[in-house]
Amino acid sequence: MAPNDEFLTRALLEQRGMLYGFIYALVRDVGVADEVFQEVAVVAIRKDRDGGEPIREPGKWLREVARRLVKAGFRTRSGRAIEVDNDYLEQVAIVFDATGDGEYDRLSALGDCLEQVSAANRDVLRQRYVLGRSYDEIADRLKRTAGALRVLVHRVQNQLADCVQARLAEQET
Amino acid sequence: MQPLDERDQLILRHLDGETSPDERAAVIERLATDADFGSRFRGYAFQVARLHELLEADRGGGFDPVGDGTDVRADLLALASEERKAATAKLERRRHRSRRLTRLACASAVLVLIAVAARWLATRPNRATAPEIADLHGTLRMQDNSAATKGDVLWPGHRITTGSQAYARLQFLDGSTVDLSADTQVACLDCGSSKAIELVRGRIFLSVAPQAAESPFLVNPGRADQVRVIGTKLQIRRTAADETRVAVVSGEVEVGVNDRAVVLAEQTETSVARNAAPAPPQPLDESELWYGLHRGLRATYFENDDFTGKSVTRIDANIDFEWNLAAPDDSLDGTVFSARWTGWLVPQVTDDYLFSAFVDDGVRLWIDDRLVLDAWQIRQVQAAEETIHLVGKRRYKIKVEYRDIANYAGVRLRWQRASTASQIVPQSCLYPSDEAY
Repeated sequence: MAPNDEFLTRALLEQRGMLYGFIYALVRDVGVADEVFQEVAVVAIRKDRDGGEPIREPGKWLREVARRLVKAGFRTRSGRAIEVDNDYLEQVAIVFDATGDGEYDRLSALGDCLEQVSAANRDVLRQRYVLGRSYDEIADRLKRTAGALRVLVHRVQNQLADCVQARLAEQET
Repeated sequence: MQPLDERDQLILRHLDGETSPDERAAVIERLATDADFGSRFRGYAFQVARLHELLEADRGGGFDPVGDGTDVRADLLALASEERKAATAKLERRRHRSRRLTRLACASAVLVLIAVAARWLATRPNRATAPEIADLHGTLRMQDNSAATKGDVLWPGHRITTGSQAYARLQFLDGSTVDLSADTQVACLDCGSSKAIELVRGRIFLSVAPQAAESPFLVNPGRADQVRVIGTKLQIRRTAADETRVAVVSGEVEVGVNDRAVVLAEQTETSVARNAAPAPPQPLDESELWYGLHRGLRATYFENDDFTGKSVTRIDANIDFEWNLAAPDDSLDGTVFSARWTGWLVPQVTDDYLFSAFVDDGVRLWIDDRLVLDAWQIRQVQAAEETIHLVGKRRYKIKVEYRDIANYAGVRLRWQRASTASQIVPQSCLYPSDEAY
């Protein structure tokens, strides 16, 4: 494989977190985000294989592919149609175009912060953000209320964000 | 102690797909006009992506962009093949080392097991006189770091340590009890018909039944801080400065050895520095005293904010907590929760009392089934509307309910008389109920 052929695949690999974050912001469901991400990956790998016009900003190009897939009425493997307001898609794209250099990399502290979260809470996060379960489904499994879990997840998210900020502040001083 | 920022709440709810059409329109509007909102929005979306990656790695998930069930992460990562090879080799070395360590650990465990069994056979205690763990909350570790459980018997050589949120009670055949506070370590030196223990660190409260003068209950025998007990109630505490503090609630004890020993009378206390003579007795400072499990309130903590779901019950010395974002108990998640304390309130003197609470998020207080303080909505400080006349030494039924519905958690129950400053309702005036109600 010639080096130029790998250009988008490398970009996909390097920026997959940022790209996934963008797709998640568009569709707000990890199961759907996974499928859109896979479609974007397929398009990128094909593009590398087929050649054509060089891509100057691969990150923006990958996000644009994702946005168009969603805008075109993305259907999940189960046949569910994903409908997202066009204004919203445009606005999210603008917000992510403004991503600063190294902004995503600053989340490297998240791993350490996550270790401070109890195993039980981490399991709730995993069910929500890896397995894509709804709060009702998680509540059934854990014998808790969906409302309590929702508050829990939001609170942990907020704590993690604060923790990352604190770690960054420590590093800067 | 602020609840989640309105902006963060809106973003998190929106990213959860739980916003109404109007709220979605508001999100679009703010994304277009508020750069800070956009930045936080992006931050939370990135955080979800990173969590997705980290937590998926936790469960050994693969990267499957083609969606055919094949993990192609290795293929893609092979693009950066040199790093990949180095990482794989490193991983293999770690795995090999891990397997070797596991085998060594298993062999060591078998040897330790044989040694422990031999020791147990050689020093098997007399179950008729040895103390047992009569009550236990949280973790209690033996000297080999194994977990002790309620009903276990101790014998000479045993050393037990309570966890950071734990307590335990040792009970001897004659009814004498030793209550261990959190982070406390006690060694059993002679735990049969005669009793001798060593307080290595932490705090204990002893309630010692009458002993024969020639065979007293000894704590730290032979040391400068030896405590000789014939029959009394007292607290002994080892401080971080390697000092032993002894406080006698009732009866009297002898502290120290030989000609340096001093007799501590009821309601007095002393301290003993390492290898020094005991300090002259001082009046007892009740604020420093822990009465073990004999006083306090029975507390039941629930995992939900409406007294439902998984619960855990323990004895709390008083209601003076600032959990912040931490769990109220190791066995709970510690986010949203509720708690109920029950027991008896016995004031020392007759007077008019004004109860108040510092609380986040809500608290209610009943005295003799009468609701005297109702701060169930989110408030910071709330005082009862009127004073209550309480008769000294009389027993009043007390119940306190608390809930944490968001963010920081904490509650302090205070009281005040006309002639005194406001103070936390002390453990000395609280007695736990046998059952929650």
